[in-house]
Amino acid sequence: MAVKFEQVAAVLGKLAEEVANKKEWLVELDSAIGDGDLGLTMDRGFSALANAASEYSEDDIGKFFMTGGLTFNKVAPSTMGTLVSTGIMRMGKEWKGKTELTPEDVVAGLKAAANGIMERGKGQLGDKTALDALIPAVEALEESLKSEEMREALKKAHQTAVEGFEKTKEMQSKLGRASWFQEGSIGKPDPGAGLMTVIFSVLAKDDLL
Amino acid sequence: MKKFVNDPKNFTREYVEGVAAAHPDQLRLLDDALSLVRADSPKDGKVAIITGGGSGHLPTFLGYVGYGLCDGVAIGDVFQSPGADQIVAAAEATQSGAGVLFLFGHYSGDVMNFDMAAEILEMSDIESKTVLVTDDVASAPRDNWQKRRGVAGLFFAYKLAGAKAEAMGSLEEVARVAEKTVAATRSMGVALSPCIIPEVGKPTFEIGENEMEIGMGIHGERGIRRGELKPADEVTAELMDAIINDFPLDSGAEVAVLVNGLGSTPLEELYIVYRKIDQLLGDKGIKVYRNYVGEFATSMEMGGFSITLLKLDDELKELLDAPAQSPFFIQPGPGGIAGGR
Repeated sequence: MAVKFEQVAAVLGKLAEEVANKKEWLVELDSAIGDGDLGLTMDRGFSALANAASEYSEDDIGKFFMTGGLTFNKVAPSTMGTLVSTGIMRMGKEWKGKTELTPEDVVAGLKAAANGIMERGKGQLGDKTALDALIPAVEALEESLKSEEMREALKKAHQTAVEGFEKTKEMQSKLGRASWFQEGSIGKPDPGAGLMTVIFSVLAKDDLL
Repeated sequence: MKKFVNDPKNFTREYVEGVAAAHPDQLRLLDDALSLVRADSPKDGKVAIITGGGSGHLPTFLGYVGYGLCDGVAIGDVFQSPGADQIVAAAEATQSGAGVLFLFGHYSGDVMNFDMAAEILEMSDIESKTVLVTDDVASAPRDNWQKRRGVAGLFFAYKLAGAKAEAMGSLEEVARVAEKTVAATRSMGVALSPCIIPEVGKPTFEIGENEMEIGMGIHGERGIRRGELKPADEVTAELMDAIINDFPLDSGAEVAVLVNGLGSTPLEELYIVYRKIDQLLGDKGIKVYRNYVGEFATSMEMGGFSITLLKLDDELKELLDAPAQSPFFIQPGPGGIAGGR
C-alpha cells in the first residue's frame, strides 16, 4: 500500500472537519489548565492546512508539508501552533521528494514530527504534553506494522493515543503555561494530548488510508 | 481601565502603523507581516540583526531598529511572541547574503518561534545564528545564568552587536560580540505598581500601597521578595549589591550604567536613583564610562525601575561609542553631532 498526495489531501480535509467538530472540547480542556485558545488556534491551523492541500497542484508530498508548516504557523502562532507547525515541517523534511508514502514512510514521518516537537518544546515523556499521547501512538504503530496491515495498525495507534491522553490526567505539568498550576494540574488531562487523539482518530478511519 | 485605545484587539497594529507613519524615512512596515525593517535595508554585505518579542515594552523592541542597531523586528501582541512567519519576513527583507543574527530576550515562546524561523530560513540557504539576552539577575541563580530572562540589558546587546554589524563584521564576529555583551551584562528591577494589558483590561497583579517587589520581571513575573517600600537610596543599594556581587566587579573596573524606567516612573526619580549609583560605584573605585537614564524597556504603565551594568573592555568601549540612530534612540559618534551621522 502506498499513499499518494490525493489521499493525503483527503486525510487533511477530514482532519480539519474533525478538529472543527472537537473545537469546543479542546477549548474546555485548555481552559482548565491553559488560556483556552487551543481549540480556536487548532481549528484555524488545520483548516488553513486543508485549504492549502486542496489548492496544491503538485504531487511532491514532502514539499507540501514543508510549506504547510509555515501556512499553519501563520494563522496559529501560539505555542501549540508552533509545535504542530514544527511537526508538519519535519514530516516534510522526512518525505522530501516523495510522491508516495509506504507504511514505513508514514512511521518515519510521524517519528520525525514527534522528535521535532520534543526538540522545539524541550519536552520529555511524562511532562504532561502532547508527547505523552503522540510518542506511544507512533511506537504502537511501528510495532503493529510488523505483523498487521496499515488499517489495523492505525487503529492500535489511535487506541494507544487515547490511553496516553487518559494517563496525562495523573501527571503534573512541567512545561508551558499549565506548569504554573503545578499540583493543580493533576486530575486534568493535557489538551495537547487531546489534540493527538483527534489526529489519530482521523488516521484510523476506515475509508481514508 | 482608562486608556487611549480604540478596539483593544487592534492595539498592536494601530500603534505600529502610527510608528511607521511617523518615521517613513527610517522604517518600513512590511506588507503581509507585522514586522518593521530599516528603510535603507537590505544593505549590501551587512549582517542583518533581527529582533522581536511582544508589545508593551517600547522602546523595546522596535525602537532599536536603526543605524548601528538592529535591521528588523517582528512584533507580537502585548506580551505575546511574534509568529515565525513575521520573523522570516523581517529576515528576508533585510538580509543580503551575509547572514542573519537573531538577537532577542530569553522567553520560551520567542525562542520557539525564532528557532522555527531559523529552520525555515535554512531551507532557503539563509544562514542564521541566535544569541539570547539573559541579563535579569533575579530570574535564576548565577550558575544557571543562561536560563535568565532578558530585560533592559537587551539595549546593550543591540547597541554593541549593531555597531559591529555596521562596521561590516562577519556573522561570526557579530554573534561573538553579542554573546560577549550578554555575558558582561547584569540587570535587576523593582516594581511599585502593575500594568494593564489592553485586551485584558485589568491590572496584571496586585501590590499594596506601601509595598515594592524586588526582582519582578517586565511581564510581572514574580521577583525575589516583596516588602515595605524603602527610600530610593536603600532600594538602589539593594539592587546594586545583587548586581555587583553577581559579576563580581572589582575596584578599577569600567562599566556602562543603564537606569531604566518601567513605564510610569518620572525621570526625576530615575535621576535620584542614578545619583546613588554614581556614589556607590565611586566608593568602590568602579569607573562609569557611559551612562544612560530614561525609558529603554518598559512594561506598559508599570511603576518601577531597573538598573543594568555592562562591564567594559577596550573592544566593548569602542563599540559602545559608535554612533547609532533610530526613531527612539540617537547617539552621536565620538566627534559629537557634527562628527556623528
